[in-house]
Amino acid sequence: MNPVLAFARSRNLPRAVAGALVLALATGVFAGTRVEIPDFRYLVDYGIPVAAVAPVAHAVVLGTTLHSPMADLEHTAAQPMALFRRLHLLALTLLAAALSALPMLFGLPADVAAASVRNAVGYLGLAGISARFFGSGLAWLLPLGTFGPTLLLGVAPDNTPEWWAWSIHAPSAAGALTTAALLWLVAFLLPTSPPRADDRAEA
Amino acid sequence: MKVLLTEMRRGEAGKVALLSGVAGVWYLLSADAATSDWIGWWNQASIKVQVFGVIVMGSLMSAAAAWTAGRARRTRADAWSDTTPRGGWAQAVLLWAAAWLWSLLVYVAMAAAAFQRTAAVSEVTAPVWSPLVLGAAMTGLQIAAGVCAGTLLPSRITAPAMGVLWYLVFVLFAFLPGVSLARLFPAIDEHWDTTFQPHTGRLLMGALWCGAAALALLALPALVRRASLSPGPLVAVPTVLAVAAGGALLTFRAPVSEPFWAVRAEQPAEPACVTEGRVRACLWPDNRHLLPQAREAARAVDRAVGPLPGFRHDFRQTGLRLVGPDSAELPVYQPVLDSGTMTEAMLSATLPSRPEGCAPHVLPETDGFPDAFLVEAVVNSRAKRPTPYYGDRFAKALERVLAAPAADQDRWLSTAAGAVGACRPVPVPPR
Repeated sequence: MNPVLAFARSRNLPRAVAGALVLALATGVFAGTRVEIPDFRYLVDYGIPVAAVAPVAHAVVLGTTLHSPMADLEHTAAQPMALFRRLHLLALTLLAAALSALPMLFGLPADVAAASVRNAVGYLGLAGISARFFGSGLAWLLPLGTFGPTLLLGVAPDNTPEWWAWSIHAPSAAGALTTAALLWLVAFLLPTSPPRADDRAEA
Repeated sequence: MKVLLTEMRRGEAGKVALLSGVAGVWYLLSADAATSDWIGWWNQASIKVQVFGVIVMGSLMSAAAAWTAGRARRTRADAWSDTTPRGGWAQAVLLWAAAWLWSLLVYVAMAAAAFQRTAAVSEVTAPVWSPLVLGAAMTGLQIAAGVCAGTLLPSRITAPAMGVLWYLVFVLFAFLPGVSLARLFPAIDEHWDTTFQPHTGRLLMGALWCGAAALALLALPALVRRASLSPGPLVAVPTVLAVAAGGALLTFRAPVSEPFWAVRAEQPAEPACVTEGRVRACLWPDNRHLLPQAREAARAVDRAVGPLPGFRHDFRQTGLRLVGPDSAELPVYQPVLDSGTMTEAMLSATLPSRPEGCAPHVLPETDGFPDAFLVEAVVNSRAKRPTPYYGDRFAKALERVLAAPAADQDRWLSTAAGAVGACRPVPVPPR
């Protein structure tokens, strides 16, 4: 069997891609909808398009493929797996970017699509970092862990996003773009570690 | 106990709790006291910790609990764990307790950070605990839901789905404030300044509901999976308690436009007051740290309109009983205010308000704006506070009043204030 296909199947990639595709299509249907950002006690007037929120879901769904069911074998393989791991992340990122831009077919404006792609890149970076530090099964932890405070605390009383809430910044915000790029780069460059006890124990 | 400690070390909840704790403590410690709406008010400090604990930490801990609960199936050890002499309910309670204890540790750290910030501002020490108890119980319910979902649906996606689900629940209820069902998933996100005090009975009832519902929920996986050691009739105890407490919460009624989880505070025996010349300002005793700013503001107002009849010279913070027609409500929206903001609040309140149903009058000189705007602009200028720009014609009228002899200006201001309060047109400005 083609090793790339074997790798994809071992990571349950087809299932995750199908899930992410459904998400992207649902995002397309609601392309014109905005999510109002609630905030502690402030009656802030700030909304972000659904398409800019969807990348968190893409990162969570696609992040499930970071788990290897044979981490021990891969660690002792003759072929260095670090290259495969990085190619995997790169492929996931391209896929997430394409899926984030897909709602343009449903009339999503280009600038919103750009913010969506930016968020997909940043959140996938966070998923990669999370998988590296907390175990591949917990790849969702950092994307969800940062999205919660962003949703609930990310807007200041003057209706502007807080500096740390990069994913709800305007598409043209250079700081948000830099943050997303840095997160992805860190995930890409992080060295591979021996399989964690949790990963080894999993079937 | 030893098994519990081992599970606390073994499970992922510790890492997630630590992550939430770092975010929470950083958020509480980095808040700017000058603009914050909670640093300095004990009610608010407690609410802040509670709402962060439930919405952010609770959602993540629920996801972590779901992940931990799916461990036996992921590692294909479920057949083994099903044959242990410990029943399914006890196993679920163990997973729940391990995660909940981690969240409690972090919760205490966040409460300490918030209370320390408030103690640094406030001159009273009155930590409010009942919202914290409800928040702790609610995180327990969230974690129990996570354990239940993780055991029954041991997929890798269950854990993040639980986190997303809780976020969605809270966002949904935030936009549907009138829905009674929201009381069963309490994340109190209200502004309780010093005019409110927690409704301890309801908060404790809510905590009882959350605790009992959590214990009953934890029995569900064992009942559904028909574990060899089923929970037995003991499960009826938390179930009955949960039904009773939940039913009571849904039955309680709060007066219209009043919060469900709080009541109006009783009038203090002795408000904290300052007097400068003819101006007196009174605050709630818990706000006595604002007395220096109130004194400066009262001095500025006394200089501007102190000797003038027709204006109000007695200011009472919102919620304090007014003591006559000369008394005005003084709004204080945040626990830390500078004297300039306090002065502006007093100057806004010093002009009598128009009687209900009285349409504002317009002067030709004010270029179509209500005549009261000109009176306010003159008062603000006398107190050396900025006035809004309403156009060149309005500015000329303002200059004309300010250039008038002091006696004429005073006479016009007094008459104008009386006219506004009596719903009469303000007299033509002095020439």
